[in-house]
Amino acid sequence: VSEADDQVAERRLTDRDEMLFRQVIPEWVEDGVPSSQAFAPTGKDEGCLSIARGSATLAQAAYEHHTTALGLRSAGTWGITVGEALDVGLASFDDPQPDVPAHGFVDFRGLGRSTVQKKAKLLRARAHTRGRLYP
Amino acid sequence: MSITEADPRIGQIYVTRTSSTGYSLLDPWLNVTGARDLTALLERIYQLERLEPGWLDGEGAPPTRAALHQARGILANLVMRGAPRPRVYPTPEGGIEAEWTVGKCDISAAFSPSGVLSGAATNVSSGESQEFGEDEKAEERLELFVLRAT
Repeated sequence: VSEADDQVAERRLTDRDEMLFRQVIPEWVEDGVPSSQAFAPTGKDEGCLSIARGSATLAQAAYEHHTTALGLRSAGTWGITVGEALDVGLASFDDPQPDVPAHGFVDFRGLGRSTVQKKAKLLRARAHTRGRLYP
Repeated sequence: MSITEADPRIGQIYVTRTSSTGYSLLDPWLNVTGARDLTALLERIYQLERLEPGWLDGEGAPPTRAALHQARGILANLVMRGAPRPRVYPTPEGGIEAEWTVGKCDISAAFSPSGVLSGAATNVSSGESQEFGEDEKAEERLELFVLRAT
């Protein structure tokens, strides 16, 4: 096991109950339902779906940080758990950034387009069942 | 689009052409739910038509004419045939994505920027998934998935 692998392993999130907060842009919400696209990384994300770790922030704080500190738009905070991501075969990682200390990501790297879309649908279903967490 | 109730006893209404959506006259007789769904669908697509470049946090192309045209025609036809109204979203590349949730089944139809249709139906409990498109049978397969699921 290389040093790099060790570092990745240390950053992997293992608490299945930890919430992973996801901000959803207004265009990807209709009738209160987020698009599955909101739970798949876009091209610029390079396979890493950004989330805010529930162990480091709250749904309200994540929303306010996204919209106020970062100046981005959001229709609200939705959430999945580390366990729900694992159940569809996706690992999650801690990845703090200078401007987003609670930043983490769900790892879609190396997956084909149709697999990404399928897993995103499964995550969206879990998030939608839980409902919007804030506001 | 405007709707005028024709005969409330049988719940039918008349759907008239509107210049704002640019949509041609469809089957004039629909049940009330179908007509309302159709109106909401076309209004949503019209809303997406007005997206500006950069709608996705500074990225995101507005939907192309080809994607809008195909989505409008195929989705409206499905609703007129009794399918539930899909939720409709833009894609970052300038396409349109329609999504239905019917029980445990999550169905999606993606219209590429060039207007090509493809999609998939996924059982969100079992994780089983079936894909369709991008071929001449895509519209037929979508219709089968959506109408069979309902």
